[in-house]
Amino acid sequence: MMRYLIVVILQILLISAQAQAQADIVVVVNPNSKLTELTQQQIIDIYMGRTQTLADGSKLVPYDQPMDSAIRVAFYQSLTGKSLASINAYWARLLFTGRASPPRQLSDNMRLVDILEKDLNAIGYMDSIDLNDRVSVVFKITIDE
Amino acid sequence: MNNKLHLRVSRIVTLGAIIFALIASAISYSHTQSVEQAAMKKALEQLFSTVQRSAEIAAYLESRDLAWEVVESLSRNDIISGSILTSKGGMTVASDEQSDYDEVFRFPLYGPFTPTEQVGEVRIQLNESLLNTRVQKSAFEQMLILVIQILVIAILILIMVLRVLTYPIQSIAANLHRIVPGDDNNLDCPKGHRNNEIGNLVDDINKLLEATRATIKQEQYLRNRVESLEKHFRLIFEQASAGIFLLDGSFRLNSVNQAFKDIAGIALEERRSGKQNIYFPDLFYEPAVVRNILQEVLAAGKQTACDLRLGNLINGEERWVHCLFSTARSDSGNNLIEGLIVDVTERTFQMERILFEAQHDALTQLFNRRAGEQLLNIMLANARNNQGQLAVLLIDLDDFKLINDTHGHEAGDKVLVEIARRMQLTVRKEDILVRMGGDEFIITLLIKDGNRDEIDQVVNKLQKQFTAEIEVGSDRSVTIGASIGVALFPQDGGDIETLIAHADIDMYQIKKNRKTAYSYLLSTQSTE
Repeated sequence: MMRYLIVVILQILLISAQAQAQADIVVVVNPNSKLTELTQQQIIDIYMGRTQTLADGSKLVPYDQPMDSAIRVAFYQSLTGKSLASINAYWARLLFTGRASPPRQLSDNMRLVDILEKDLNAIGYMDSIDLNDRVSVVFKITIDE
Repeated sequence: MNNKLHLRVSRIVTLGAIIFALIASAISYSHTQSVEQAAMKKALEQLFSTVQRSAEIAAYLESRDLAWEVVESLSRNDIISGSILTSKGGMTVASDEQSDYDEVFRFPLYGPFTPTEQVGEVRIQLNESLLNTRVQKSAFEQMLILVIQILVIAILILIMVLRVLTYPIQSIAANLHRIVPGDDNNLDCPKGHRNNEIGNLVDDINKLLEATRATIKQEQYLRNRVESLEKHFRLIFEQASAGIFLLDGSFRLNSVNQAFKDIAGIALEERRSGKQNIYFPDLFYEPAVVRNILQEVLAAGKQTACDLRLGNLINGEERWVHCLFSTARSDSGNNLIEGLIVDVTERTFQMERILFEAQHDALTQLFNRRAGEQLLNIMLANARNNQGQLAVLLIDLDDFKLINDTHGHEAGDKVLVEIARRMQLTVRKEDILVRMGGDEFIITLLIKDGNRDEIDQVVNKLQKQFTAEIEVGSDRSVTIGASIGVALFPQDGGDIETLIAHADIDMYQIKKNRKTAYSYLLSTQSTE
C-alpha cells in the first residue's frame, strides 16, 4: 500500500515538471537580426540599460511585457533574481541621469511579434508556448519553479 | 617641621599620580587613536553603504552623472577628505584633483544584477586632520577625567592621612611634649584609635611613662637617703674633734676636716703656699721622717700610729700630734692614705717634763744618779764596741758642809747650782755630767788613746771654774774647791762600779793630799 502511494506521488511530480518545462520564457529577435545567440549576462546588460548598441553601432531596442504581467515578473525574477519592484526602483533612480532609459513597454493591443518583424534592432521576450516562425530565439530562460 | 608627614605623603601620592597619569595618557592616546580610527572606519563603511547601490549602478552603467553624485555626496561628510569612483570600463570620477591617497579605504563595486562581476571600485580618503583632532580631543578628555580622578583620589588620601594618621600622631606628640617625666599624667588615646596601631602606640608610651615614673621615684628615694647619709657623715667628718685627712698616692692632701685645719694650722700654710693640695710631710718638723713613715704605711698596708712634731709653731709654741695612718683604696683603685691626728702637745710636754724630772736632779738640772748610771752604761757599751776609751771623773766639793753650816742651806744650794752651771759650760756636749748626790758629781768623757794630758786639761779647766767666787747672797760670796778623782776605761775597770770605785779612791787620795796642802796654805795665809 505504502509502496503504491510513493509511486503515485513520484508520477505526479514528474508530470508537473514536464508541464513547467513547457512554460519557459524565450528571448526573441527578428530572424534576420545579426543576433543569433546571447548570454544571460548580455541580456541583463541590454535590459538594464548597460548595453544600448551592438558592436557595429546599431542601436538595440528592448521591449518589456506590460507592467503587471506575470511573464514580466517571471522574466526579471529569473534573469536577475530580483523582484519587479526593485527593478522599477532601479529605473526610478536613473530617471534623471539621462544615461540610460528603461526598455519600451508593450501596450496591450500591440503584439511583440509584429514589432520584431518591423524592427531588426528590436528585442523582446515571450512565453515559449507562443513561439512561431516569425521570431528567432536568442536565449531561453528555464523557469525552475 | 617643614617635612610634615601628610605633606610628604601627598607629595609622594601626587608625584605617583602624575607619573601614572602620564603613562596612562600615553597608553590611552594610542588606544584612543585605534578606537577612533576603527570608529571612523565603521562610520565610513556605513556611509559607503548608503551610496553603495548608486555607486554600483554608476559603475555598472558607466554613468558619470551618477558617479559624480555618489562622489560628491560622499565628500560632503567631514570624515572624508576625498573619494574616487572608477569603473571597469575606464570611467574615473574624483571629488577633487588629488589623485593618490595614503589612507585609502577601497570598496569594490559589483554589478547590481550580477553580484559576481566586479564593475568598479570606490576609493575613499579619510580626513586625517579630523581624525587627529578627534583623537586628540578624545585623548585630552580622557586625560582630563583621569587627572581629575587622580586629583580627587590624592586629595582624599591626603585628607585620610591627615585624619587617620597625622592628627592623632600630632595630638599624641603634643601631649607627650607637655608631659614632664615623673609627673602622674598619662597620654590620652585619640578618639576612634583605641584598637589600632595608634592605640597600641599610646598604650606602650603610657607603659614607658609609668616605668620611667617608677624609676624616678626610686631614684628620688635613693637620692634622699644618700643625701641624708651624706649629711650625717659630713657632720661627723666636719664636727669631729680629731683631724681627719685623706692623702693621695703622692702624699698630698685630698681632703681634710676643719679640726685638721685647726690642729695642723693648715689655714696658715694654705695662705702661705697659695695652693690647694699641700704635700703632707711639709706640715711637719721633719718631713723626711714623715715621708718614710708614709712610704712604709703604703708598702706594708698596715695601720701605723706615732707622735710627730708639727713644722709650724702655733701661737709661738711647738706642737705635737698623734697620727694614725692606714691605707684606703679609692673607687678608681688608687692607693690612698687616710688618717687621724690628735693634738698631743700638752701630753707630750707633760711626758717630757716627767721624763726630765725622772732623769734630772731637781736642783741642778743635771742627770741624777739613776739616769747617769744608765747613760754611763750606754757609753761604756758603745766604747766597748768601738774600742773607745773613757775617762770617769769623780768630783767632790771640798768643805761644802762648811758652807752649809756657815751660810745656810740656801747658800749651799746656790753654790751647787752655780757649780753645776759652770761644769756644764766646761764639758763638751757629748760628755755626760751627773750629780751623784750631795756634793758629788761624775763627768764621763770620751778620750783619745788614753792621753793623760787631755784629762789633766779638763781637770785644770774645772778647777779654775771652781775657784772663782760664788755669790751666795747680797754682798756675800764664797769660794770652794773640789777634789777630782780619775778612772780610765778600760785600764782601770770594765764596769761602772769598778770605775767609780777606782775614781773614788783616786779622789780621796787627792783630797787627803789637798787637805794637807790646803791646811798648809791656810796656815801660811794666817801666818802672813
